[in-house]
Amino acid sequence: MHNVPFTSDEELLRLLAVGDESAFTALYRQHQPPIYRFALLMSGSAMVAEDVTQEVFLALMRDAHRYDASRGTLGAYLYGIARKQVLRSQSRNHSHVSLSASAADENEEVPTLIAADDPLHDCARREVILRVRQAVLALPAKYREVVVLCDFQELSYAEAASALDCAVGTVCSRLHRGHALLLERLRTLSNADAPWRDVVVRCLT
Amino acid sequence: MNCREFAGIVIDLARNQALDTTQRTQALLHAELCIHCAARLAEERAWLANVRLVAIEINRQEAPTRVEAALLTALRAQRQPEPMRKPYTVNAAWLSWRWAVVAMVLLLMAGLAGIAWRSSNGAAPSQEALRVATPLPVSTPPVFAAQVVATPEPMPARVKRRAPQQREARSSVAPSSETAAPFYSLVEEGQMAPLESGRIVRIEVPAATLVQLGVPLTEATLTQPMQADLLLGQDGLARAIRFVPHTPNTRTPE
Repeated sequence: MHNVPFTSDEELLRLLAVGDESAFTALYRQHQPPIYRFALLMSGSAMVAEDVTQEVFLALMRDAHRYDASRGTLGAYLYGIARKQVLRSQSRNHSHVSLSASAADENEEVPTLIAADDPLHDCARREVILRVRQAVLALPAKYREVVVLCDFQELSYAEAASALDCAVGTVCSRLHRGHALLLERLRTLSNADAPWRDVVVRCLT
Repeated sequence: MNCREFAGIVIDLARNQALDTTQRTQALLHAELCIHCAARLAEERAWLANVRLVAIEINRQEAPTRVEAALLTALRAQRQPEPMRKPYTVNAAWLSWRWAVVAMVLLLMAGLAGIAWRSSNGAAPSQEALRVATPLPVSTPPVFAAQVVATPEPMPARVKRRAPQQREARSSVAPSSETAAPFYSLVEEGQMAPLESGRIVRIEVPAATLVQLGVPLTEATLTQPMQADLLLGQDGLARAIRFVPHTPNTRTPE
């Protein structure tokens, strides 16, 4: 086993191809968090995100030679695999899409117990987070993946285009359309949560 | 800047990215004048603030450690069987392919032998052919050379009784290298009944097939089929083979 503290992705992949465990660990620890978050935001389920992460790195392990550095970064390549895995998982099991069951996700219960300095503020913050995530999950997949990559993962348009295997212009147009749908959805959610805003309140003065 | 152009860059404007100073100034100026575009910009900024809130929340989350452990186990499992499986697969493929070639050649020979035997059923056994044992002496008598050239016709007894001058004339048709080639046995001692009578049939074998069988060939003969004389026993089965160097004269029929 080699020590691979500061090595490029290409070098790590070469080592992985000959079965180097530490190279795999280095690649996994570097790329796993964004892949997991991407899958989590795309699916709304920690369980699916976990499965997708595992599938992505299994695919990398099996077919490391398929990665072509001239076509984009390794991160973008892995996002591409993750995206296909999420879509496959969702087509298999539609029950994972809803975020209403997010309380059941073990990973999401932990932060609630940690941040409790200002319970009111924390409650409002959690409500916003839930609403935003619901709105994202309600988007059609082709807009959702662009929003997740560009907004939440902060990828450039070019990187997102590489991950989604499409043109930069397509990414831009989908992002605009996705934002328009999101804002519309958020407005609807706000009105649904606060019906009193639209009701005439008797003036007592 | 009009509202349409503003809508095209509002996301980049809210993010403070990918805009040059002039474009940015014009967009902000437009937002001051247009209420709708100002509201759109405010919405985009609010959205980005919400995204950051979610990002902070979600950045704490990672895949559980059991995923890494499972993947490492899979990596070890994937690494182990490969060195054992690879050479085995290659050898098996190579051996099966080689056996297939050998079987194909033997079938071809047996088929030809069977046809020749049926066509000449009842012909007198050639005493000269009987002399051809394995391996033959390097110099074969001229009579035998004449018989070789006469194939694939069944060898009549009268051929043996030709006048000496006729034999000389016929032997001059066949090149000396052809007569000098030795026969190689295709069967092992005791595998078949003793050779009582026999006949010689000329066949053509693809050079590539001979290479696969380990017969040494020169580069010049590698691209063309090799002629060979097959010695068939009284039972019609091939007993021995000799390879005839390719020359235009060797193919001349009687």
